[in-house]
Amino acid sequence: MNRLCALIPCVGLLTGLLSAEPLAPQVVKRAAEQIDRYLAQDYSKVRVMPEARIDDGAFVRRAYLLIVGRIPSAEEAKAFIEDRSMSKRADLVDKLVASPGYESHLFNWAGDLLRLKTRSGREKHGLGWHVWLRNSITQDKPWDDMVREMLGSSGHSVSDPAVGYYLRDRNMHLDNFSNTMQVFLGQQMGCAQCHDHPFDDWTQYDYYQMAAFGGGIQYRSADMQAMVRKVAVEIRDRKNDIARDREEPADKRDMRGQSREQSRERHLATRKAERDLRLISRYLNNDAITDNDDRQLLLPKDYKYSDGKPGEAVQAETLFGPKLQDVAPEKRKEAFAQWVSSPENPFFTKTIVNRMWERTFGAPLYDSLDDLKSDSKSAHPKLAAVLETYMKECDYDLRQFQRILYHTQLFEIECMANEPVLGEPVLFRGMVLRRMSAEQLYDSFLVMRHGEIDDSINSSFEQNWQSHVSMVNAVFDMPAKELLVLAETAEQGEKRLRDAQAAMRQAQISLRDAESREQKIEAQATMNRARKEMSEARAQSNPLMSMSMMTMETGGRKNHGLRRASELAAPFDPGHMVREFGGSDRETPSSGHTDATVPQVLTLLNNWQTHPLGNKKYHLPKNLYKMDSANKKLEYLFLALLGTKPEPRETSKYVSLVENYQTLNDLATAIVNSKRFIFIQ
Amino acid sequence: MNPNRLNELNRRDFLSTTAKTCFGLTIGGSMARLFNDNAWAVDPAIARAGGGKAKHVIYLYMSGGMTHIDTFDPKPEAPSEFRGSTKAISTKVDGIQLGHCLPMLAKQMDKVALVRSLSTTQGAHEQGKYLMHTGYSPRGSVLHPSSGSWTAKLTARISEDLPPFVLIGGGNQHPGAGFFEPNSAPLPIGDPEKGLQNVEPRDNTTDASLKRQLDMRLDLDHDFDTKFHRGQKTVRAYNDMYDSAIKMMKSKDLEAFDLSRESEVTRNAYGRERFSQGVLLARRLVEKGVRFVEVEYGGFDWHADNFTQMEEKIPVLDQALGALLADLSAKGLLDSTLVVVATEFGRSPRIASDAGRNHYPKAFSCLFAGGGVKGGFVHGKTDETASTVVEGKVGADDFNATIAFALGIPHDKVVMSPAKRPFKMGGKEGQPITSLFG
Repeated sequence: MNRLCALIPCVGLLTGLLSAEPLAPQVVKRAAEQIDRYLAQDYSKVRVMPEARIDDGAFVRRAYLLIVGRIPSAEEAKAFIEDRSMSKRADLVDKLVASPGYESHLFNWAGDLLRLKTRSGREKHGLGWHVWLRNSITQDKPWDDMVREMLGSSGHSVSDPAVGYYLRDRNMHLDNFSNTMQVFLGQQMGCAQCHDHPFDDWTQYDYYQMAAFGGGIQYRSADMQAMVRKVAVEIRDRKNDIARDREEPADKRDMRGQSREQSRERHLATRKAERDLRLISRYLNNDAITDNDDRQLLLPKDYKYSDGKPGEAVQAETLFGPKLQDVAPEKRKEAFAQWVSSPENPFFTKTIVNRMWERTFGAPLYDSLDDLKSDSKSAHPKLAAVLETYMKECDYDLRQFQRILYHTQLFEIECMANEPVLGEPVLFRGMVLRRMSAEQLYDSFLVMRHGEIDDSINSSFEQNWQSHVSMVNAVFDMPAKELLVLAETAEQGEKRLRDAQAAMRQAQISLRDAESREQKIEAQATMNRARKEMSEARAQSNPLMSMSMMTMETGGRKNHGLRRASELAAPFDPGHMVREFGGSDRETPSSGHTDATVPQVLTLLNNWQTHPLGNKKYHLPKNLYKMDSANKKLEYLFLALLGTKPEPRETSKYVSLVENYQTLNDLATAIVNSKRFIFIQ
Repeated sequence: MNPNRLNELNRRDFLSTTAKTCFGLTIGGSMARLFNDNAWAVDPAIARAGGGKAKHVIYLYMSGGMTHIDTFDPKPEAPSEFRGSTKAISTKVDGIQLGHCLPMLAKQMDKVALVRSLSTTQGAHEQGKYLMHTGYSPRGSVLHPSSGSWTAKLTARISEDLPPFVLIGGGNQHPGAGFFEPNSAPLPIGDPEKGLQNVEPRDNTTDASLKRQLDMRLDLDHDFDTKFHRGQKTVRAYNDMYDSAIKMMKSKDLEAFDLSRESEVTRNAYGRERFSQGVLLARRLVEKGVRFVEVEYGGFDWHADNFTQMEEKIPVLDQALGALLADLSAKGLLDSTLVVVATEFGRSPRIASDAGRNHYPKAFSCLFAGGGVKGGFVHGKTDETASTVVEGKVGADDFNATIAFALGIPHDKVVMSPAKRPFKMGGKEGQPITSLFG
């Protein structure tokens, strides 16, 4: 609230706002009008005219695709087009922004930007981070809080799942840092990781100074170390019990000998505890980071500049924005998280505004998305400045900020004929034409099959994660004696697994060499037994899985119903339709793309998955066939695929095709293959 | 320009290409080949200097930064904090050693030239991959084309139906065609086992149906194209891709993508990993006239457990590469096919914590074979710990210029970007490593 009050006098548009609540409609309206006024001033300065206003059909399709990430169903499009209300465009925007579809679409964006990977092999931090990010978005957690929680995260992922942000780049803190600077502050520092560059602003020393705020990060679990200590005590106690039985008289032992003996004993017990807990550790130790206050970032061993010595410790210091230096070691990471996400940071607000603008209108407000300078060029500098104050006054609530953008006139005008020129700021006379993202396309095919889909949330991630959390916490809380039993069970499982693997290999050889039919059958039976044994043994060797079998805590019934792209594990596998259409591989920030390829064309033309009439039970054909005239059928098809009614000349051309299955098929396929379909106008 | 006229031109433009390729009006087959071969010939100056023998490139890219000191540039005399558990093995060529995970390559050292003196300043993955693929550092104002797209643009097509550049298992960061038009972009294949999918029309689609679909597609896009075709590359790209896709659906050469046509013996010889099968697919594609095939193998970023990971990963490369060289040579294709193994940077020679190695662009290695390259040859040298290049230093631009040279493309031929700035396949100042040839 303080922040808000301070800003009202100079802007005074968003008055009456309470953070974490939707803005009042008149506030949104005034803010959107202000944006349009700035744009109009910039048009007249360079004597250009804006593009024309789009019609209702184009608007409804654009609004659904850009706000909730999918095309409207025929019913949704028709309802909008036939609505006679004067405020129907504003009402639709508000309805869509408030719906779960907005969250789904924003989650795809955030996951791509942050390189979220749901699956992390044996480790579970990816799942935890996924659930955390999804919930943060659903709860409208302000962007600055999200960033601060990720950058300030610490400990085990079951207690602080945002730590997945760091664990995403295990042992690669420097790469993680380069991405942090790019993603949240629009700064390109990657080159300075290895060397000074004549054209770049940053030296290698600068880079290390900034990265040094994370110099204490170690990729291991303090909870796991505590468990080892707990078990080591148990091991020593057991040994001492045995020793006490044949204790020698006290006067024969000198004090020094005893303490040396004890520390050796302690050391041996710890090593033994580590060995005994090896399989438990395998599943728990890698899902955490520990902040070691004694550790500092060191310059590389081949550091070659005169401002530092190779291998020397670097003091953490920020080089722009509010100065941060001489921070106590235990506060380094938290201080840096605060600094990055502060409204005082000259690039934090600018970067998220630029990203949200690009997300809405198709191109950044500045000449670059990921390489911002203090003098970055924009065709709309005044607007850019006022948008930063809006973002702050919205308290970094992305949903409300975008809502303002969706209410502008700009969101209602046509796309510009020419694509933006790389590296030059765009003059927004209209929207930028974009192909649907892979996720938008995937979800749009779901609409054809199922109609409206915004409410289908996949809860199995959340359930699996919650059961994992309670399991891990139960293991951390276990008494040492039980831990040793659990570890021993896992060791037995591991041994069973090795035996089963050997049996499997043997069976494979027998199968290969089998001559008679009986031998073949026998070998196959052996293989099946070995396979079953392997899966049981594998479960036993995983302490968390064997726990879950003991306590019968499974992840709940799995719902294999319909799932949007945002409800599935990321990234999609290579070869999946989403990847084929450029879905992110989650390796670098925002790596999703919309480039055309031959396999995409083949998919749209020949794959059954993309056939809008592929199955009579699908929503689209089922309702289309219900229409009682050819005209209505044609209209339904156009509404369902293009969000608009056919024009009279289109009706006269195509209406004869819809009563024949073959020609209707051809028409539907042609529409899905048209650019009107895959592009967002 | 009168908008109606523009519209008419555009429309005729892509109608003609689609019609030409789709419905038998094409100048396909041998005629096209004849025509194309006249349009492009090896630069005579390059031929005189020993280059220009390669007609194809198989480019194996080790993504993540492959360790050089454990593979192509072993240092058996170095202290153990550099060497780790890697041993050097001798090869078919006296005086050249390789890391112990490359025994099959060692047997074929007489076909291979190593470059042990690559050095760049890009130590981050994205930038390093970009530099190796394009010869240029990333800039905000231009997207540079990758070597495969340069090749596609500057050479004639061999096959009328198959694309000139195929990328197998490539990541999203691949620069692809850069600022070139989309017809130089790679055809991506995700899983080599599956090859090119969806090439068969749906079972209710007759030829007449397909023709109707494509005609209506153009018709539906009439207004859209009028507005956007000229000013938007992504829009033009879809028109190009429909042309290529239809051509390929009709092509007899499609079986090039089908690995099941290879014998089990051959498939096992390469290894059954996804990457190994991708290498085999590359050989098939080259046989059918694809100019440039890149196969990416991910997962070389070993900040921890370098030596365990190496034991699992390098043998896969070794087997596939060994099989490829033997196979190409048996088929008489090695002289006309340049094989390249590249990566974005090496790994720090001094072993870091957790038995890992970190990014190291200052000194690393790559490999060339076939396509006129001298076998049993090493260019360049690093110091006793593989940390610094002491002889024959080359950069990513030189590396790309060398590929151009092998193909007979002038590495310094200037192509202007849409913003009218000059770019070259060999980067700004790259020079081919001519000592590898002849």
